[in-house]
Amino acid sequence: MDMELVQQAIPFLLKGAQVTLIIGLFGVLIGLPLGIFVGLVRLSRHRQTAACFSAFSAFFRGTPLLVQLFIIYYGFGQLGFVRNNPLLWWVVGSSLHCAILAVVLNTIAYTSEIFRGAFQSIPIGMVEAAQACGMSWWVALFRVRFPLALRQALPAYGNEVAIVIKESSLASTITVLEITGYAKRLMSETFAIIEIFVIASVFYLVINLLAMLLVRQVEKYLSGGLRTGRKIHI
Amino acid sequence: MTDVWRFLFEQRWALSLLKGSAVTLGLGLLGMCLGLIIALPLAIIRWRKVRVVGRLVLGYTMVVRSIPGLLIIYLIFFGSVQAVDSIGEFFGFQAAVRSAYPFLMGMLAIGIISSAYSVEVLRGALQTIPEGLIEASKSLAMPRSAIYLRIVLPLMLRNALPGLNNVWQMTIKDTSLVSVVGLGELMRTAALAAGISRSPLVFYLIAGAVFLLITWVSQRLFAVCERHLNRGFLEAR
Amino acid sequence: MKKTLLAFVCGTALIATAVNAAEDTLTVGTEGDAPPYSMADVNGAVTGYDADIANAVCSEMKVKCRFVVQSFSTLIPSLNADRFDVIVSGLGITEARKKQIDYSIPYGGVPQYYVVAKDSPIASVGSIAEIEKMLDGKTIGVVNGTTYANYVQKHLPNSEVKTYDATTQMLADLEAGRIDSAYSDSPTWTDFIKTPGGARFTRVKVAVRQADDPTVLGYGMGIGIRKGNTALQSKVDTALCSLSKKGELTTISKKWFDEDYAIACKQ
Repeated sequence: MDMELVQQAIPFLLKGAQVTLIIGLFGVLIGLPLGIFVGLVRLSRHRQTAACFSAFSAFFRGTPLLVQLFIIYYGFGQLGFVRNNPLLWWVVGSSLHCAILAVVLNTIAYTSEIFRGAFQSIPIGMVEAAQACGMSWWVALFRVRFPLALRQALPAYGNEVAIVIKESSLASTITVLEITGYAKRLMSETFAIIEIFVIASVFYLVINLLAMLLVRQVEKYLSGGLRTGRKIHI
Repeated sequence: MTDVWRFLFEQRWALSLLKGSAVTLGLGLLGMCLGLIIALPLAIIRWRKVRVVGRLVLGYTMVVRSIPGLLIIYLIFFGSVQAVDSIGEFFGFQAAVRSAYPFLMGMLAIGIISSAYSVEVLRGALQTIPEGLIEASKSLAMPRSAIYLRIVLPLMLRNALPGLNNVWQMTIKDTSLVSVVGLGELMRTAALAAGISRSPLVFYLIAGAVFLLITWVSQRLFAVCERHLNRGFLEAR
Repeated sequence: MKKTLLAFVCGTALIATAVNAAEDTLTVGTEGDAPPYSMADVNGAVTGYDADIANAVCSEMKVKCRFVVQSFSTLIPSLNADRFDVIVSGLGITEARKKQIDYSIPYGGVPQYYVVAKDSPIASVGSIAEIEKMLDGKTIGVVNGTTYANYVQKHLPNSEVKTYDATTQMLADLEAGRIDSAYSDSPTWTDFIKTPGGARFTRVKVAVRQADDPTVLGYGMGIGIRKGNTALQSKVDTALCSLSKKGELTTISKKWFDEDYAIACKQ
């Protein structure tokens, strides 16, 4: 390995790591609550609303993120009314905003799927018991259904967080300079493909490792009384 | 809109989008198969808890699953991978290897990515096989190969199918990443058409629709397979 | 299953021998996505300035050209991976790239321009230094892996440089108004300004020429050849030289650019 080159590359990749983290943070902070919400709506008795949100989820899970990014960035960027509307242009006009939007929509679709499954797996007796105690729908949701679903969903959600970090790399295709964007630029300038690849990969590994550890800590905390030999698939 | 129509049919971009879809499908299928071929022995190593090697396999799957696919594709395409050429030379069809170079590289990248996920799915499926079944077949003096071929693999396949469905969905979508290095699959064709016709929205929407169609049809096929493999088990549950 | 696999392998081998039979071909790596240099059509045929140059060189060498279309930034690594014999893709000859590949003699050198909106005050400025001072701090588009990208990064250190995978993507972003300016060569702009979306734009008054910063911009466009392939290099050089003497390089340049950007052979 060429040490001089490594030294030259690391500051750039560190700058890129900040952008990767920003996209990842938005993905989790907006994606998680909205994903839970969409998951609940998809289970609701309003058939049409549920179907609408299911279609949304199916679209974003059935198409590659790259296609979604290009539709939002190049596709919507072509439309006159988007360009003339300041609010829409604030979103579509900046490549970083586009990347965040696409990643957030994508993770909402997947998170809603995870939580829909988790809510469905709650034994109906638990909910009935809550109702029998006189809990309202909201109280039952916050004190019984949501905590149970969260515990069920966390291992899968941990994977989803890692996926968000990884998928944020696609932002580089619409000129966002995150880790992969800088890596690509450095690769085509210095031709030191392997070296740059290894450093960039280490960055992703570290970020993902930290995210996984964090999710595991939350998981441990939540399953406090229940720590039997449950297997965790990560 | 009429412009797009003319572009699609008079300049025959519809045809090349169709060709691109075929490349996408082929790339996804072959990449998935390559991934499974790599994953099966690795999964058995993990399942049998082979010392040291098992740890190495775990490391491989962890690393590949934490790195973005795009980065892996850049490594394989930008890095002068002469390995493929030397393999081709060995078998005496270097020219064919050269003309199919982007496709082979794309297949390799997709195969590596999907293999890391397949290992975990297959290992999980193997672990659900009751040890008693294997002991029983050993006590019948079945040869090792027969135990694997007739007991382990069929049971594994049935348990692995839902997981493999997920891996397939991911793999077919990952093929779009190969477009950034210029392999003429669906997404690349759509990008070329979008650039030349200057109406990106339509062409990327078309690409999205084709992907939706592919994932939807394959979901259906997996459902049929699952029902087929589970026949005779449904009543027992 | 085994049989299908066998059939597949045999089939591949058959195709292989078929390809081997056509020995007298020169495989040419090109971008295919950069009008008017290199434009790939539906059937994979390539037209444009670079395609004409490549075809002329091939016919001079009495071989057939076969084009391989790939995005620009992957061309040099792929040449080294023996994916094709030569690169003809407006490839500037630079010192950095000479460490990776060898070059033919230069066959053309095009001036480069910044492009700005017609109503921008920069449009009427008459010196490069002044233009670059005004653009520094703005958002500028370039294509990843080009000498232009290096030039802009060096001369506009405070501006946000956006790098695209393809020229057409950069043009789309310029039209959409996401970038204040873009930097590329004269033919790209001549072509772009003629399109409906490009009518709002104009190139700045002064051109940047290779001689202004040869360490970054290089010495004109050359045909890229794998390192150490001297036999091919001398054949290509001879072909280019004879084309230059016949005036064909000028003809091709005038056909696509309306101007003569050919560089005369010094041999």
